[in-house]
Amino acid sequence: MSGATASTSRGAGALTGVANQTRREASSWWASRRWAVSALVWTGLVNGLLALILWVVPNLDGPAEIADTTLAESALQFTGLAAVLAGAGVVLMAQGVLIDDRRSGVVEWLLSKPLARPALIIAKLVGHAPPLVVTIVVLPWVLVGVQLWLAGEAVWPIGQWLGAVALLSLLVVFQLAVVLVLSTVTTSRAVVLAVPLGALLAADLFTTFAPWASDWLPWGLGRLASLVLAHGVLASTQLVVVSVLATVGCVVAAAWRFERSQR
Amino acid sequence: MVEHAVRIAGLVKRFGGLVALDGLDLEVPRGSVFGFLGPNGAGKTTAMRILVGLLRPTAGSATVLGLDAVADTVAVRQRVGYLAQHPAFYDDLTARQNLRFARGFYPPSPDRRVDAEIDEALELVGLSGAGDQAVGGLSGGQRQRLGIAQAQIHRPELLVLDEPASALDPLGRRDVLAILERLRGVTTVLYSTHILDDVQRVSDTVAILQDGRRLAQAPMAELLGGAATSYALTVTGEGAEQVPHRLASQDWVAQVTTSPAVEGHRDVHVTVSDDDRAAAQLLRVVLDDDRVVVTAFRRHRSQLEDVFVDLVDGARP
Repeated sequence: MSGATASTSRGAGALTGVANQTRREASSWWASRRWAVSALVWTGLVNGLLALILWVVPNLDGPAEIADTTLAESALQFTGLAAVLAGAGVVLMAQGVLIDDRRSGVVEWLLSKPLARPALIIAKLVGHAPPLVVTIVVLPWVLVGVQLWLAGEAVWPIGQWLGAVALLSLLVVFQLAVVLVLSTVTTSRAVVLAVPLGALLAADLFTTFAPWASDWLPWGLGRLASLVLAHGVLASTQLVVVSVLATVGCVVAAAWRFERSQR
Repeated sequence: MVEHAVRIAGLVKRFGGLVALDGLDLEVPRGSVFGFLGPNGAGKTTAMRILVGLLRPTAGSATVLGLDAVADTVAVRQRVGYLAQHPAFYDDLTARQNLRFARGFYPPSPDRRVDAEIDEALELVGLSGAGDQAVGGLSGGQRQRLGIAQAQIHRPELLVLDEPASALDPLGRRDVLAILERLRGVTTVLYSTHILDDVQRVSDTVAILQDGRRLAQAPMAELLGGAATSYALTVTGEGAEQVPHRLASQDWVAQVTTSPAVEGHRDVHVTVSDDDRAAAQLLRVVLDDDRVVVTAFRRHRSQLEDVFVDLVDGARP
């Protein structure tokens, strides 16, 4: 072993170490079969749901309205349900992203390296958001586009499809940010699961009683995506802006909280 | 003047109502293998976690390699390697992959050089054969050795090792101590333990902590040199009961204790203040009486354990 050599400073302030940590977080998906398994599961779930709505339900014995449902109405119904699936899926899959590392002692190991605490939070978001979006939304929705094409016997308007995919992707990233901020507050898996799942399910109910809230709660992005896919209408630009700001806010809050925690 | 790798002054850390550090002072000389001793709960881990920025002190100051451990924590961690008491890694990665990941936090080098550094680190800790095993499958001793490898992968100026050998079996402990020996002269090593034999074997400087305070700090030789030497002998014969009195009258004897005779044999314990004179004269004084027979004789030089027990017991209220 040669003599000790001084290491020079690398990175700056709150982002020190972010690149190395982000590579690790991303490789936990892309360097294993995890992304492929996830993509298969979500493609099956999402498209199974759509197949049910498009091909099975209209052929069941029932009220004439069901059989007469238009393709646009089916797309509307499906997107609302797919949004709940996506929002729940990201919480289920990302629940341990930070708390597992906190519980196992890996976070202590990481923070003994030149890795700033905010950089760890950002690395978790940047490393996990793309594979979650790709496997829960983008890849399953390619097949969704194919099913809609087959059902309508015409290519579904690509702009509408892209708009819906973008909004659902934003919902996924927002839910991941919520999981991260909760993971800095607690190491309880139950809390990290219950809060975003509960909010996802309660948001629709809440906006029924308080319609003004529909433009303020990011969990309503699914409703927005439904309208974009079915009718090409972006009902609320404000909700998109609010969701982006809420996502950024959650990340900032997580970084702030983490900077002060465990000390 | 000795240059210090670590300087701690009046360090206090409270966790709610619990006082973990209560005005700790400490200086770790550069280049030393510094043993940080103390009973469980003495504050060793807390002090080490403050040095690497995992905890903030409630009061006091700590400088590491001339940098403030709180304000310059990231800069400190660029120059320090740390091994936690229970090291954790990414269990899905191999030992080599974990080292490559850890190396990634430090200034980049060409791939070939990084590979060579990783090989060197694995060799240092005797894990060359297990480098491509998933960490989840390594034994406790192997994980501990990997912990040392990852802590020094960037060749830090200071290694902070929290109980690096305490959880290991005797062979594992021996291996870890051998690694510490190999690091002597390469870097400054600050390590904590409650295994006194280990400290005596490898440390050149020692600090003893209790209740968050330093009880003593000195080079090992000085710490042991200041401790008393004692002799134990068993005597019998008609003049045996006079032996303690004759010894107590010598000016190089500090203390004589004796036990009641059993079947004519009496144990005498003599603590001496001048070991050279004691070595030359003690037996002559005892055997000056022809009726006395010495059936057992043993010289006992104080070990670190004696010093430690004396200090810790003496500090108890």
